[in-house]
Amino acid sequence: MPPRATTDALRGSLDLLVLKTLSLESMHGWGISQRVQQISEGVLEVNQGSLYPALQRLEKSGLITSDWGTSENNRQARFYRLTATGRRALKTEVDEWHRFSLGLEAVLRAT
Amino acid sequence: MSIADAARARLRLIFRRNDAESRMKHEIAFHIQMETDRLVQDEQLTPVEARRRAIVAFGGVEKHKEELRSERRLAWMTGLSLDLKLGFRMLINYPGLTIVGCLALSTAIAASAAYLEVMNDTISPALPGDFDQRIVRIRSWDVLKNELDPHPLSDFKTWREQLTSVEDLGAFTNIEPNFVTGIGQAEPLRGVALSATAFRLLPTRPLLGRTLTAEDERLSAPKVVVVGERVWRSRLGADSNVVGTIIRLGKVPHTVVGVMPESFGFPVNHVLWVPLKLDAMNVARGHGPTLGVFGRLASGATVEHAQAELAAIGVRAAREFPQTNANVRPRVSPFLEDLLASGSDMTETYVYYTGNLVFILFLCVCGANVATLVFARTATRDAKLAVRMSLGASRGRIVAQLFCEALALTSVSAVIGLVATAVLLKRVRIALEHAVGEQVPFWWNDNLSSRTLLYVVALALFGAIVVGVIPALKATGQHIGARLKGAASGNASLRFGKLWTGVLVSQVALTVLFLMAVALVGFSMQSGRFVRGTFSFGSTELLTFSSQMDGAPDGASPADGGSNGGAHRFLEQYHTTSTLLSERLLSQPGIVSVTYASALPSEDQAFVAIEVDGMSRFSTGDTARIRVQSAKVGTSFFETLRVPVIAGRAFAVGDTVTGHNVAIVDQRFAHRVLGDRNPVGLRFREIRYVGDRHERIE
Repeated sequence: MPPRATTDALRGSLDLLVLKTLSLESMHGWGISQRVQQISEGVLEVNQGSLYPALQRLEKSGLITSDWGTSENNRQARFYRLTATGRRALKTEVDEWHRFSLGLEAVLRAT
Repeated sequence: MSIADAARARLRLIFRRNDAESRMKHEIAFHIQMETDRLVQDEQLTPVEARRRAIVAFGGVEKHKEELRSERRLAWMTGLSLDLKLGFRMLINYPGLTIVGCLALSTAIAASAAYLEVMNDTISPALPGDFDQRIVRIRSWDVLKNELDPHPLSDFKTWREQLTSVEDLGAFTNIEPNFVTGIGQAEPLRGVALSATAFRLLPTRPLLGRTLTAEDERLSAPKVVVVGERVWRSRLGADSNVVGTIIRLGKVPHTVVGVMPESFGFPVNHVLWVPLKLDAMNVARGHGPTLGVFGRLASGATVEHAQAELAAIGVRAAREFPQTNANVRPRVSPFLEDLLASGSDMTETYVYYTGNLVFILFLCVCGANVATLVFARTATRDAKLAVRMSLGASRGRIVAQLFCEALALTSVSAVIGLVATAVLLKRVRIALEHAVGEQVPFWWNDNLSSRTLLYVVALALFGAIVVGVIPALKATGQHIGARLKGAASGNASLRFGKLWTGVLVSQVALTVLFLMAVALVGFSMQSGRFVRGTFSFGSTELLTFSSQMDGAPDGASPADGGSNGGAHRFLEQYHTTSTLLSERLLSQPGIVSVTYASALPSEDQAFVAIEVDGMSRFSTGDTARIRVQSAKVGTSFFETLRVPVIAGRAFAVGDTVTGHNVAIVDQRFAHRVLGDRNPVGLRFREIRYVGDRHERIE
């Protein structure tokens, strides 16, 4: 597989993780990275610096939106939340991911 | 979120740059602080160590900031703004180059923009914004003679009855009555007799009183006049009670009923309006005054609809009146179509606009000279540029920087050029009015149009490419290693000495001065054509004036030789008056000779078609038909001008007798037309069009 395809796959996975995390509740950037790590029980670790370009990209696409708010320790933070478009996109992405993982697993099980 | 919301979010990220930058910094700071707090709490690290590890975990703050900026597509914009700032700073740091460069470029830009503006006003004129742009003009075109039918009175009456796609049809004819003041002084004014519908079509309201009405057009209605603001101020003392005053136009008293503002000059540049009384004109078809016809396209109608309807009316008229209308085709067009080019043929329009290539070439010449100076300046900065490139700046990035510097120079030049153009346009108006002796048309616009502004922006960009990109490509083309080596040894490979810089500055300055001198000489020569003239005769001893007599019926003028029977009595009266005037002038001290001519030597003469037998040079047969310029002159014309007749004789009194046709030709005629044969005694025929026939006058 060429390197570009790998990068695209990772970027697509990061977008999916962000959308899924925000579907649970509105969150700031640091919170998203912690939640992904927590839910995946430490298996998936989001590259913290790459998270913000991904958030900006998703916001530009209209899948998420953001507002200033107060964090759990009373600091000003930017909170992201899923839009209706983002929710629909998440469902499509999840279906795609399931189909992809089933296909991949089928190939790996082949003898 | 809708697509509109997404677009708004995108635009906010792009254009609210400061907000986006601040938000980015805040978010990253918050993230690192939260991670630091977690590390302090979970892993018992000191705050300093926790912060260091948080930053490491974030993975290069600046790199991610750049990534974020890049996502916003702002990287190039930031660079552009910096480059432009640097460019404007360079203008201050190199004042000599700035002054010479701006002078050269702004001269070229001003000349090109002024040309475009004048072309727009003449080739594509537009009625002022508050005018109805659906106003059209209808003309009868004689397809056989390929010229306008000057007597469309009967056709106009037909159009007014039958045409439905054009409403409020009206007509006008130019008049130049003598405005007679209380102390008996008379001065001709440019007036027009027109249908009152004109004032319904046009939005301009009178300053005082009222405009003309349909009632005024009745034969029995009192004679009324509407005057322009300039006449009201200069001849009527700006009297606010002028409405109701009686003034004399020629011998006829008229009542002033209104005053129109100076911005109003419909149909062209008229200052006096009287009602057109068509009922009084019971003339035969094919006769009558020279009329212009106008109207407004009916709601939903287009010029094409109106043309189709007019064509059908024209065909019927040709069938019913073959004597006069067989070759006449009515045409409708926007009221202000091309003044220089014929409306249907765009080629002439393109040719006139292409004339601007001369000025664009001028800009190229100036730009190339300034580019040389810029290259000299770039040479002095070669070491800095080489270091920048060695640190990773691409060649494109350096070229962009030098382009921005040039753009700063051309932008300033464009602003100066625009100011100069605005001044120049005012001068053009004054020069035109001085040359023609009349006001410019009322739609003439001194202000810079948006089209010209855009054009100047394009010129500034083009100029920046010439001035900036070419030297930049040259300066960055050399191998970076050699340039760095040169920079390290203090021998920059692009170095220009002070001497050469001085020579180049002088070269550009001389180019500009030379071109300006050429322009000034050209302008003064053109002005001199109207003001002084350089003639072979003693022009400084000559005084000239034009005379016109009121009341010429049927559009007759003395110059047409009285071919129109209805004008005979008027012509006799004109002749008597002219003779009396000549005698009175001769009785004045200092006046030794008086003569007259249909056109002065400095003016354009009328063209006539002639046939000369035996001159196969101009045709395949024995008879040559050519067009020459001619003027009708008094018998003492050459004597008054002190121009000797070099062969044959001068005119004599007997030559004015009807049927005794003689002519004097000049040496050019003898050379070009007759091939240097002796013209004395030679016979030729003047060809005149009468209806659809040619009439030959021996």
